[in-house]
Amino acid sequence: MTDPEFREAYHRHKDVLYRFAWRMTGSPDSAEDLVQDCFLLLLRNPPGYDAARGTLRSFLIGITRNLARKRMRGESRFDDLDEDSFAIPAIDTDSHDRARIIARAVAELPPLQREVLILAEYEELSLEEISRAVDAELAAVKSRLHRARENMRRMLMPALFQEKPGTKGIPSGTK
Amino acid sequence: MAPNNDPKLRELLKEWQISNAPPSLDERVLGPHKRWWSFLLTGSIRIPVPAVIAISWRFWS
Repeated sequence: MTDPEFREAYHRHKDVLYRFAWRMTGSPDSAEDLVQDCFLLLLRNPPGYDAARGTLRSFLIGITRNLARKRMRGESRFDDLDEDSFAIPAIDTDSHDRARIIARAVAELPPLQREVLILAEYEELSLEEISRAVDAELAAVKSRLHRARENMRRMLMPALFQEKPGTKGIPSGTK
Repeated sequence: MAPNNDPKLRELLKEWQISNAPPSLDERVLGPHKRWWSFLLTGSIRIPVPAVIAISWRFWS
């Protein structure tokens, strides 16, 4: 990979990797470290990328995802179990900061559900691309995404039935 | 994109927006941006000793 190719790849994909890493770890500082490490790996080992196996974007997301897993394992925040019976209570939405509530709900998801939800809902990747990025079968991705959305609905149930602040209807914070 | 048949959930999730990568990341990955003329102030070049001797000899002779 030439220097201009590397720079082009960096400018094209840095934001999606940064947002993904931030949402996975909940920390902008960790996100910056992870994206830097991801591009250093690409620089040191560009043959690791095979265009026949998917897009560069999904390859880089895969690297960032593995680095994030490694980091969270070190902090004991990553459990590979993708529990079906994962029970998450509804989050208290008696707050005006809805973005913070949503961030908290995403952070509560098991990591395998969290990563597919972030890639599908926020980065709008196709199921096939998610499957390559997280190195999982398509069926597994669909199942995790379904469970992630169910869990989000359960956690955000109160917020789902509140009107967005500034819109007509029941004021935010009213129960 | 993977279809989400619940527009209300989709809309709610989108309320959590975060910023793009900061400029400090550019510097960490690509190195500090240098202006082209900064070489004139801080740059250096390496010249082989025989070349220096040859040039000096021509200059002084």
